[in-house]
Amino acid sequence: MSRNHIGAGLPIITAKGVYKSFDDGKIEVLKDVTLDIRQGEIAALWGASGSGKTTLLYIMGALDIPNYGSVSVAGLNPSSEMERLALRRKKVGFVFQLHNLIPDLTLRENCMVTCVATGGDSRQYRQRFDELSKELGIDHRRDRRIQELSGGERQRVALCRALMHRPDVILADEPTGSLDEKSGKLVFTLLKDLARKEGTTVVMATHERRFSQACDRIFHVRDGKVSELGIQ
Amino acid sequence: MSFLRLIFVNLSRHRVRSMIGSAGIAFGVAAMLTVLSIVLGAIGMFERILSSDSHYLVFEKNVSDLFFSSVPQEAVDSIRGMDMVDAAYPLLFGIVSSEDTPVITCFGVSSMDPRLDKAEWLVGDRDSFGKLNKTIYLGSRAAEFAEVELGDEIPIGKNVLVVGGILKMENGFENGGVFMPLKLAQEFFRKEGYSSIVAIKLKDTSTGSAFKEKVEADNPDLMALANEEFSQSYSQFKILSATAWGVGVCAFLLGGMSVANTMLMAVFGRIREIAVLRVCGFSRIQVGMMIVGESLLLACVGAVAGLLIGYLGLRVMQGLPQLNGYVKPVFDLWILTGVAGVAFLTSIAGACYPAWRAMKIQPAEALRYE
Repeated sequence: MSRNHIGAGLPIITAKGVYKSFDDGKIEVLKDVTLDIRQGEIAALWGASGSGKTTLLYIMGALDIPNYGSVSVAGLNPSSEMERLALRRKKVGFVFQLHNLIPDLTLRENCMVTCVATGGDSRQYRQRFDELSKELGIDHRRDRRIQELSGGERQRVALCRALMHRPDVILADEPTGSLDEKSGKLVFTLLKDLARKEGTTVVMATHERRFSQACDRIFHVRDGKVSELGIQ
Repeated sequence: MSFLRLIFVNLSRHRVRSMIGSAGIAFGVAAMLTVLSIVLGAIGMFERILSSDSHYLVFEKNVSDLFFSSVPQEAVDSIRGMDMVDAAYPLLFGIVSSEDTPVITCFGVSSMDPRLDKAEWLVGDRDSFGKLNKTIYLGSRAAEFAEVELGDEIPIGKNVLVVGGILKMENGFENGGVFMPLKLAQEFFRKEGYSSIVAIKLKDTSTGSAFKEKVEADNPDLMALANEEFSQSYSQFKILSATAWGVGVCAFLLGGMSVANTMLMAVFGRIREIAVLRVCGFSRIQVGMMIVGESLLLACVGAVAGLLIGYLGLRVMQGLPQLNGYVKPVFDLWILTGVAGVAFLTSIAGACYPAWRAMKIQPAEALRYE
């Protein structure tokens, strides 16, 4: 669970000339994407649905492979399945629009899935869960099953799960997209505050202008091309 | 939270589907246990018929079935006269029929045969065996089926014979059979001067090899085998045993398909969830192990249930009057290990394809399109 701190201000995610297409090149999703995201930043990938935000996020999290170009995350530039797995296990945590939790497990068990995956020290993971669940305000429901939680609570559990292994980077794909305004704002604030506190870099794909404007940097994604809108 | 807990939760989420998968294994186990137990029990009973109070069996060489074996009386007399032989009991097998029972096993035995001494004589006189004309002796089950008592006449084939006694034997086949004095049996089956086998009791079992050599040297058409050797080499026993295992394995194959179907449905129903596990750091191997683990848990539950069903089924069959004495369940370690082993292999085999499919799930695609 040790954290590999990279000096603040240095790039933690670097994408160079990333190109991604589907259906044998007929559908071009990302076109020559180049960007740097620095350690501790909260960056928004802002754009309309289908613009390529999620694909870029998946490539950053080693869930997908670009056709051309390279992406380096926290010093790793994975080229094999084992390296991609290592990146997911140690360096990145994911939050999705739909919480994607296992319904019949309790809140705590869902968060401990990362411990099962990595074969980590369960005592340390339990301790970590206690800290995070308190900060996220879900500790009183730790033994409840997922079906018994509200949408906002579920997304907070997803956030907790993503942070369990102290990742360097949180990749959040429309984390507020399925929530009402109040819950969405709460989840976004928690994500931001926790990231600041732990020094975690956040890359959040969103189509909502108000959330993107609350981030440190905004990358506008349109038709597979990425341009930075400016540092706030 | 542990890997096992995850496996358990995955199965408990779809209880009916899991139960159907387990039921496939359970019925496979029950079928295999029942068939093996009955067949091997029957083989054991037949072995005891052949080897009653003896060490060696002498029979005609190269016959497919002992019913077709013919050992001449001269050979019996010559063997009986050997120094190392304590006693020789000729036995003639045949099939007879009466009015309501088309198939009755007939045992033609000499009056000195030890099985007559071991039997419980329900009615009739042991000493009269072989001394009365046209008189036969029935096993207790045969007498019940034929509804006859001591002194009754009973049509057997084209003859009418008198019931001279009713015997209760330890063995179900013998209880359902007819005992004839050897001479009467030889006349009845038109095999005068011949028996099917000779059961040999040696004075000293260490002389077995010498006995075998001498018998086979003196009688080139005969062969002698120790009881254990005979059980292992007799083709009918081998065929029965192989058939029992074959039927059992077929039952398991159906069970395996049921497991494969259950697990495949479980994988297709959880594509997104498996993708999320991959996102959380599960390797392909861990995903595969999870599916195989679920399959093994189904098999364990199914195997326990199947053993219970099979055991109860056999007990019920034992209690049925129609089968009384014919079903002698055998629950030895070999059978239980075999059944457990086949259940284990079936569940692994049934899980292979679903596990492979689960391992091939691409998280990005599953999350994007599911």
